[in-house]
Amino acid sequence: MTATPDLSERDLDLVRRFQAGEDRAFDELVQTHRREIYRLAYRLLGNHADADDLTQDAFLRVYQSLARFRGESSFRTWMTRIVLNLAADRRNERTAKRQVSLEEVPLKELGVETGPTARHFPFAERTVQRAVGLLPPRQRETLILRIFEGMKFHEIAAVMGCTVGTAKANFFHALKGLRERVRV
Amino acid sequence: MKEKEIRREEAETVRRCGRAKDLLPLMLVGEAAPGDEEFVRVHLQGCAPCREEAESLRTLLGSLATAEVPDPGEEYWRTFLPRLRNRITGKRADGSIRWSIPWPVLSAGTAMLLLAGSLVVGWQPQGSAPFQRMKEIAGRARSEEIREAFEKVYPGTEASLPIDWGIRALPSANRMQEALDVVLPTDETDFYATVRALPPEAQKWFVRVSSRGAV
Repeated sequence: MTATPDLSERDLDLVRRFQAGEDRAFDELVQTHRREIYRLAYRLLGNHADADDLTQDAFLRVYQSLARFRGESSFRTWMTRIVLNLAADRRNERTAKRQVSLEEVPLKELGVETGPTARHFPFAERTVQRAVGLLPPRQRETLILRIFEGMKFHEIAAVMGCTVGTAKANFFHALKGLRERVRV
Repeated sequence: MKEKEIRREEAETVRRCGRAKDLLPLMLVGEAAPGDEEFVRVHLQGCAPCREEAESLRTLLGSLATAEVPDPGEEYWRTFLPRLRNRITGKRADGSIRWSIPWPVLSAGTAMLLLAGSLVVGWQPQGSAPFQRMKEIAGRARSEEIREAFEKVYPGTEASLPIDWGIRALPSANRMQEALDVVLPTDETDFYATVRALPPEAQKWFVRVSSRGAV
């Protein structure tokens, strides 16, 4: 999710147009951000079906809440926060339903991945990808936002509602946890 | 004397290695302070184990950065917006209309429950703190905000609940607290404590009513 000042202003312009009653401005926001939101969702949840659900839900939430968006944070930060909240809701639902989550499965039992992922990740990368999925949620989210979304720690802190120090500590522990699992 | 100096030097080396290892992740993603970065660079020049550590971390970060997410394909992206629009307008993918709770009704239901709660609290002397708080909340809640609150505590509620669940899906006390954080973010009402402050009969009633809402 690379945000340039231009994109940020364009987002705000679209938001204002939507708030002024131009419903189609929302479609433009979707077309602009859908791929990056899908990628973030995929990295958070690890498979296409969940990523699709989360991406759809996130834009639905945006549609329902956009009228109240006041631009106090960037659209990107706001949208990322929505995605993380929805991902957390899913995690909680999964825990409530006592489904087996990725976090509960030992790495060695995960087996060789099939489907599109297998074509895209060389083995070592798939191992790292799985190890990311085994990190505690806050560490995983911090790592994803820093490495894949290219966010600075102060932006991560804003998205996750924590201090910059906590964001850095989560990142540090995430890397430590990864190294223990993949032994690079 | 010499032994003491050696020990002191060893302790200093351990301290420097520890600091370097703490700073390495930040340095490798370009967010270490200039002074810290300089410290690590100098330290790495003279410390083989820390150089190895740095190389290992660099490899790990490199393998992370190159891991791509598979693109779901053009067909997926072509249908993405129409599917989303269908959800917004309440249509299912097969074209049938989705159930949608009329939010003003749900809002009224919420207010009714809160007011009913107030009446129950009415067993206490009128003007008690819980009575006043619940009455005030019921008066201030608006349908759009209630809708958002419900979506937060019961994701998906907007799409598929049968109408008669509208009232029954009311959150129990701790979930009501979450909902209130959305509806009235500046309100500091501890709803859980408010319910706990009810007389035992009223608490039982509240639990009975709200537990029916477990989705």
